[in-house]
Amino acid sequence: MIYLRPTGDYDLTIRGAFPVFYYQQTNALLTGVDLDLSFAVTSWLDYQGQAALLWADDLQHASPLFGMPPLQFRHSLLLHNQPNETQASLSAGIQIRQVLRQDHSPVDDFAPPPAGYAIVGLTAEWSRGKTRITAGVDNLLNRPYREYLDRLRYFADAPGRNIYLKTFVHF
Amino acid sequence: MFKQLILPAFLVTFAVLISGCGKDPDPVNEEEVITTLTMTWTPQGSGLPVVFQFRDPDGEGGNAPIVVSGPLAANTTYTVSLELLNETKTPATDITQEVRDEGTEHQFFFATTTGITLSFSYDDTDANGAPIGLETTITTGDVASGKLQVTLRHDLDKGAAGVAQGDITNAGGETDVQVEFDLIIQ
Repeated sequence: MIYLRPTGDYDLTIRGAFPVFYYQQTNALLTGVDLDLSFAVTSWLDYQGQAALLWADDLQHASPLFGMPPLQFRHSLLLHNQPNETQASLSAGIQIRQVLRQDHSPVDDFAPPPAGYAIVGLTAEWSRGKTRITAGVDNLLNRPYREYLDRLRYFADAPGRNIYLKTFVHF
Repeated sequence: MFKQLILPAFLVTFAVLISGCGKDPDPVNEEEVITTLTMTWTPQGSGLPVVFQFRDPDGEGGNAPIVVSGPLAANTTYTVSLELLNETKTPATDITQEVRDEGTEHQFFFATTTGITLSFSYDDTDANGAPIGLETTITTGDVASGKLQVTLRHDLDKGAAGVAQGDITNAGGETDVQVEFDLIIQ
């Protein structure tokens, strides 16, 4: 496979010093499991759980492979009504995403893998006929965190609390 | 009615995508390539000028840049002028005038590591009377050594708090130049 390898070197340019990455080819073994679980707790409450585990090794260099997602879990609970054909459908949910520190990572990197974190999000939805309105909050607790897969993690935290309102009209 | 529009709309989008791939995109107004920053320190009164230079004639990548700086005298006032060049072309293009002409979109900032006293004042202004920093007066403090960082920001907010006084914190914009010089005050 071809992946982006951090060299550990910086390239000095007139705009400052930049970390250097190279695309590199290697033989790799990726082993993983995705688990999904969803069931209706009651007629108005659904649970959904997901787990994603990936174990990746660079066979040629006998080391962990750079840039692979760490173990993560998602849980979500969704409250919803049961509208008939003329009623509006309403739902509200909470999502928790837990990501562990990537401990299976190569030593050669510009910074050690960031700490694990758990992020809470809220969503709400109203829809009737061809109109759908959704609102939500990402990173509700405004928790500072950095994502291992994000190359901006060398410089800054991931986005904080983000509130959105969206309207969809199908025609 | 709307459903009838979907197929034509899809075809039009597809056609745009196809032709988009077929011809070269219109040239965008590129950021200036800057390879060389020369900072000339002329002591007020008497003495020889001192030249700091960051030079990377083959641009980003390739050969490493060459950074030179010289010792400054303690407790001395210097008239400092900056010159920018693009040496990837022959003859080299002078970017200094471009920065001056687009003065309202550019500003230089100066910062030192702790332990060094340098006081800066801008000597030039753009069309709106805000500083640019191609011409400055810099007064050295006591004997010390460390680093001097010169930053050129493009498309910044020149009206933000502290920016006119040379504080980069609220400036925003994009970094065109960020160069670090060894600084020795003796």
